[in-house]
This record gives sequence, C-alpha cells and structure tokens, in this order.
Amino acid sequence: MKKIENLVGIAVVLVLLYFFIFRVLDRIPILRLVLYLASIGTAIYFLYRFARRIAIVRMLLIFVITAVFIAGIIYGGMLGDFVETETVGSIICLSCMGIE
Amino acid sequence: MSLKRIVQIIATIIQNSYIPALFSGGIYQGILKRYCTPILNCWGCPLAVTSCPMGALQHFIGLKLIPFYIAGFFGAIGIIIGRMSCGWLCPFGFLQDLLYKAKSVKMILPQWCSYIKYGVLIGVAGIIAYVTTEPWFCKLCPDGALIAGIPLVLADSSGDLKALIGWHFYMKIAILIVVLLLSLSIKRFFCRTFCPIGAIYSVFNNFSLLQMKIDKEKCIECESCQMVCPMHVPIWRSPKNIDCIRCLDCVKICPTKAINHGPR
Repeated sequence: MKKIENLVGIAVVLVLLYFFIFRVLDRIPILRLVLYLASIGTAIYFLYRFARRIAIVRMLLIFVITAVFIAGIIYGGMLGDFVETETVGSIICLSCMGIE
Repeated sequence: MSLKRIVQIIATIIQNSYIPALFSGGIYQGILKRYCTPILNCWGCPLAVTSCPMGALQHFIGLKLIPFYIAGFFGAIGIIIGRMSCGWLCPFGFLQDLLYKAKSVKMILPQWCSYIKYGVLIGVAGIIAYVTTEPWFCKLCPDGALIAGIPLVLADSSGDLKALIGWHFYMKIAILIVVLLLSLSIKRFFCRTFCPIGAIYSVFNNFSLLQMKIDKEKCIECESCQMVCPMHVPIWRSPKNIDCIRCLDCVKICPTKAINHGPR
C-alpha cells in the first residue's frame, strides 16, 4: 500500500512539474531547459530507488523510460529536429575547424 | 582478430563511407545527416554520412531550444546499453585502443580525472554553448581536428582554406597531438577524461538494461580484468563503474569465468 502511495505521489509530482515547466515557464527558455532536465533526472532517480528491489517493476520501468525517450525522439522529429539536424550537418562549419 | 575489433572497423567504415568526397571534395549532404551516430564522429568529416550527436546537441542549445530528439536519442541508447557504443562503435576510441598498443611508457590515470568529462559536458558543451550560441566543444574537439579539419585543409587545392588558417586551427591541432600522445601511455585518455558523450552515457551505466555481473563466489580478485580493460576499470570491484564501456574484454580474460553480462 505504501508503495502504491509512493507511485501516486511521484505521478502527481511529475504531472505538476510538467505543467509548471511547459505552461508557466514557457517564456523563459533557460529555466525551461534546466527544469526539464532536472525533472527527468529526479523522476528517473526516485523511480529507480523505488523500484530497485522489485525486479519485474525495475524491468518494466526501464521499458517505460525507454519508451519516454523514444517518444522524445518522435516528438523532436515532429518539431522539425531531424530537418534542423540535416541542415546544420550538411554545411561545413569552418569556425568549428578553426578556419575563419 | 576479436569480434570487437571487427565491429569497430566495420562501424568506422560505415560511419565514414561517403567515398565520392574523395574525388569531388565537400561533405555529404543527404538525408542520412538527419540521423546521429551514438558516438563522437565529426559531421564535418568529408566522409561522414551521419551527424555527430554532440554537435547537434550544442546546436539546439545554442538556438535556445529543448533538444528533444538528441536528449531522447542519448537517453534511449544509454538506458538500454549504457556506454557500450563507446566500446564497440566509436572510431576515436578505436584509434586510442590501437595507440595504446604501441610500445611506450605506460601510466595510470587517477580516478578523479574521470569526473572532468562532466565539467566538459556541462561547462563547455552546455553553458558556454548556450551563452555564446556557438558549439564550443566542436571548436576544441580533437576528433574534429583529425577527421574533418586536417582532411579539409589537405584537400583544399585552391588554397582558400589554407589562407584562412589561424591560431584556432593550430590550437585544435595542438590539442589533438596532446591527446594522441597521452593515448600512447594512458588507456583511452580522451574517453575517460574529456568525452562529453561518454559523460552522458556513463550516467546510465548504473541502471541500464545491459549490466555487467560479477559472481563473488568465483572471483579470486586476480585483477586480470582490470589489466585488460581498455578503460582500466576495476570491474571485479565495481561492475557498474561509470567508465565501463561494456567491451566485454574482461569476460573473455577472466580465468574463473566470474564475470558475465546480460539484462539486469
């Protein structure tokens, strides 16, 4: 019962963080980036701590986290990250090579 | 030749297989550049067919955008295999492996040096790239100097690029020379101390799906695994070490077969 309460608590925190980051701080890019990374890190850490003693849950957790990351790739693709990567990767950055 | 070496050679060739660049100059500009390799491989290299994830990450950071694609990419690779791609796919790591085989004075890197790469990741590839909007790790990257900077200058028949060479180019070359020289004496010097991609993957080593496992009953603490490890990781003591690149050399060398690997 305690574990279920923990899980519900974590889910609530994640939802709140989501709205806080993507709704409230939408206009402050640096805070949004930092909080996005921090929330993911915190979520992974606490979920990992919670699940470390339960092998099946731990395994499921890894698959869920993998799915979240893959969703991140797909979402990034929808936002145009692939095209942006292709565009910037197709030009020779001379200043990066020290030729300027 | 070991399976790891064969995979390293094939990976190096596949990632740098744009042969037309040898004849026509320039770099590959096709659709494959949308996709990143899971390791450090400069996208400015004339032969590179895919993008460098660290260059792409800094580009998005410089644009003040959340790098969903790159963060998801690093996370997905890291959570499944940890740093395994460093051991099996990275051409620069492969080069360092070969350099260390040369006869030279051998040195052991202090453990604290392993934490420098987090500073490089957060400081150079993160904060400085954000503030200056320029990919500052790329500007210092020895891999970029080796596979992109030098070939581009050598292939420049018109002399235009050579005329533009300044102190920055020579600084990159100097960094490259120092890294290569230290790699003769220290196992995978760059991977252990400065590689920001290794820093990202190493965070996942502790809870990735693929794990190294030690049978404490069988282990005789001979440390032969640490001796053969390309990262000099005391795997018998800490199988989840941040520097373990899951190359599996230790599995092969263990005299009592105490080291194993597999899903957690």
